[in-house]
Amino acid sequence: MSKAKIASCLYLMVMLPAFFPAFGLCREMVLPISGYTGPELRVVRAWEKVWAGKRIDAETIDRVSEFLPASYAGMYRDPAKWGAPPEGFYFFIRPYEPVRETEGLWAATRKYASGLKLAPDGRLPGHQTIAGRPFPRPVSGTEIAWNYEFNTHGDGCAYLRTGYNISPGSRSERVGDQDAWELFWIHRVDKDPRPALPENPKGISRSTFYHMHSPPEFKNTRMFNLRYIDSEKSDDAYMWFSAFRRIQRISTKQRTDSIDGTDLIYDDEYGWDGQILRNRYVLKGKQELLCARHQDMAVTRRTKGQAILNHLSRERTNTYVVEVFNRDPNYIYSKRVWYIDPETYLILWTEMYDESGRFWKCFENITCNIGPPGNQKNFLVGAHYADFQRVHAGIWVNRRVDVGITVSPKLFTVYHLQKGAY
Amino acid sequence: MCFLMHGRCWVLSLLVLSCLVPSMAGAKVRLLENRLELTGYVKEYLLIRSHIPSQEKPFHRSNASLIQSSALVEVLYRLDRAGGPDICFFTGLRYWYQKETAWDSELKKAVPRKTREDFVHTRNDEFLTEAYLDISGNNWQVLAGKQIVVWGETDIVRTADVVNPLDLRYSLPGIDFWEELKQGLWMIRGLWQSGLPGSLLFEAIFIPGDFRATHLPGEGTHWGPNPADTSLTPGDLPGYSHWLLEKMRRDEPKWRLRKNYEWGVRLRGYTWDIDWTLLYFNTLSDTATADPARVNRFTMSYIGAALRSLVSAKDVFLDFSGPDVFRYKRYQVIGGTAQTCIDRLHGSVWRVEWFYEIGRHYNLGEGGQWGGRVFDEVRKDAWGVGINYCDKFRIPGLTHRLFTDKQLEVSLTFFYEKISGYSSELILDPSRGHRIGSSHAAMITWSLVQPISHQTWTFIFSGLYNPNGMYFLFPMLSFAPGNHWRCEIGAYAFGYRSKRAKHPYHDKDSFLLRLRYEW
Repeated sequence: MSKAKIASCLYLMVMLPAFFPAFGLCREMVLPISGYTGPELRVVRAWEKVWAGKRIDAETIDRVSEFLPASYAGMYRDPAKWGAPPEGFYFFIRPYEPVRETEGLWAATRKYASGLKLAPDGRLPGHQTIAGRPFPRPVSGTEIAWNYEFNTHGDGCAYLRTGYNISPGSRSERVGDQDAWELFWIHRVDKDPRPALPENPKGISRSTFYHMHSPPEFKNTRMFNLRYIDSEKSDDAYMWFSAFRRIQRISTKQRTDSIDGTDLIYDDEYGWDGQILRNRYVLKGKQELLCARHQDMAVTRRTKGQAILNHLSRERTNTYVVEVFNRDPNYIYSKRVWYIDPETYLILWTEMYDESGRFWKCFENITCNIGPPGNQKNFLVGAHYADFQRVHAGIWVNRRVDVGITVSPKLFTVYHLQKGAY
Repeated sequence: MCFLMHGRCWVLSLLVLSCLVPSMAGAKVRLLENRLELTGYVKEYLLIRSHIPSQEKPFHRSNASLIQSSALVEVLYRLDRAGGPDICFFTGLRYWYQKETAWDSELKKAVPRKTREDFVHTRNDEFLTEAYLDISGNNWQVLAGKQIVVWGETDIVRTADVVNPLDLRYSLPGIDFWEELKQGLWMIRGLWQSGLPGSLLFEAIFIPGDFRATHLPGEGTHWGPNPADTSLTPGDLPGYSHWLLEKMRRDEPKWRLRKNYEWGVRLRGYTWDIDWTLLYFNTLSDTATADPARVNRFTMSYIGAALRSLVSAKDVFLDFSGPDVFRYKRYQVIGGTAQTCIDRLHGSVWRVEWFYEIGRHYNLGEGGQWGGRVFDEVRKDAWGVGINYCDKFRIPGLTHRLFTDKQLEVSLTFFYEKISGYSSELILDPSRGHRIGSSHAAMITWSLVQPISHQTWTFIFSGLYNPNGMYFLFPMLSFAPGNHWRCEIGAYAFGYRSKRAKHPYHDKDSFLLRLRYEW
């Protein structure tokens, strides 16, 4: 029996007990929902018999390029242009492995998901009082976007991120690292209190705290960002900039500004980092892509100036394809294309087009299951981002990732900024 | 030959700098299981004057008038404790060496010996920028030791930022960060986060008598007065400005708890989407006023010495002994800040800062002129306000094509100050921007920052304009190719349009070169 078959059997053995209570509570909703139907999965497994464990590089990339964005397939074909080391770029194929997500997510989905309807303008009335996956079987791009919005990263998470801002032509790079903490104030599924924190006078939906360690001009710079439930309200952000030694409000309105010279704008984190209602969404169907969803970052390899990590393992994933149009006609991107994981609703690949409609950037999010066995959360552990017009790139590697942790709301206060101000 | 000599100095400096560079890959050095963090920089700083007035030329072998090597190491140690309050110790150690003043034999003649000794390298506790123990609990924090505290919000002009005195011997606000210009003070500082509405954060400071005056640039140094302007026998006898500055320094009150204590409180809150602070500070003035009964006699004794030097063509010993002439008088400041973001105004950030000085001491002198005859000392109230606007802009066609989508950052500050009960004989600090005979001062400062090429390059244009005709312009280009090296090249110009408001640095236009290794 192949490894893939064994994995499927084991998965079913683990999952079946979970399915039955779901039937009992809600007959029409079988949770969790796999990215593949049975027949689709059989096709995938047949393909994996040939490809699982294979190393993909410049010589073999054309044989799997149908499962990669064309831009990234091009990077593997022309590694010298993107700062590759002498051995070139390569990755491995691994068998598809379903992502289960946490018990809390499914419990909340069973509780809240039935009968939800979007308003004509895309709003989800009363969304701040519910949690889980609001649309387990989405039929529109907007429903998928709301599912993305409801992914609370374990309600609280923390990680140490090292970011490489890379000029592949000169093989030079600038490295920044920062600790980050996130807290979801609503849509909570994993940590009590659920589904929302009771004390929330400002109406915050999510808050993020960053402590920057490098580059040197940002050493010990600390900031936090508050996103509000009210979609009309801009984020609030406060920063302690160590060179000025002051706590300052900083503008968050100009979200198309590049972040510290990288290829990212403020809206780009996770594939989209803004209010859901700022965009219009069109579901274009599904597309299978090779995605790094179970990546151990410790095994990845890179040298200075290298635009893609080597030694990644990617698996076939049946992503939703959603075209995203910002409601601001002067927005920096004319269109984004999200390739969304149907099991986690994380954006695994995203492509951006410039104001003239020309292809511009493509980002890949790398994820892994974090947490105790049986109740793991699939979360970002790394990212690639590349600007194909300027031949410029970046990599994130998240270390010390903790998901489903208790993060104190006191972290997101001016006092806390003051307290660590050195 | 001189140029070659200075070229060698510069190369030597770079070699010294490269030897000092620690070999490390990360931006921070962490030791003892991350409990000990080391950060810092090594910096080479060169100022070349674009023009040296003819009467000052004998004191310079070249136009390079400030070549400084400096290094800063900051150490943060976290005590690893399970439960209980967090305990940290932070210290900053700094060293600088002013090579031009030490190496240029002509410049040595312009800078009086005592000034030179203090200026050339770090002395006394200047090595220690900060050193404090930080103990904090859930909603309280106590910091004890030498500290730098910032209470203001605006950029170039200090309005409510009143705690630490400045060291203006080597640089100016707008050219360097406040952090590098401020002198640390030994103090106890406490913060308490209340649970009251508005997230009120209480802060109190007590400085137990550690007084330091503003360090003014000494005669003959880059930022200091030109000896040819202030001495009858330049090169032989230090000028009148040295006579005053040195006496001010000697008259500075030393650490004395009962007389020199300073204290202040600040309240921080949040109301109607405005973050605000209110502050009160009971302090000694960082700048001196003269005792009218003594200063004129003190002045006459300088004139006597100068005449003896002129007649005998010999050095004359300047005797600074005698009773105190300069005093650093107590006054009070109330003030506050407010800041908010306004979505409807392009998401811009607005900051307001205000102060009201109660009973600050001023001298009255003939024509309100510095260096003129002083005949009285009075107490006046003054108030001021600064309004700062910060925004980012995408410039159509340029931001995407040339600046890799990094937007132009704009900061504009308008500052206004007025002295109550003003008289034209009131002698005012020229840096406050008053035109002689005018009770008020107004200034506009700006800073435009445009990162280029993925922020490898940054163009900065900052400056100041005073409606009385004084201005300061400072364009600069910064190059940071990787994580550690940063090279900055710029030029600054000072000017004025009215003789009643002559810019104190009008002859200091210079080119700047800074090379820094940071970690």
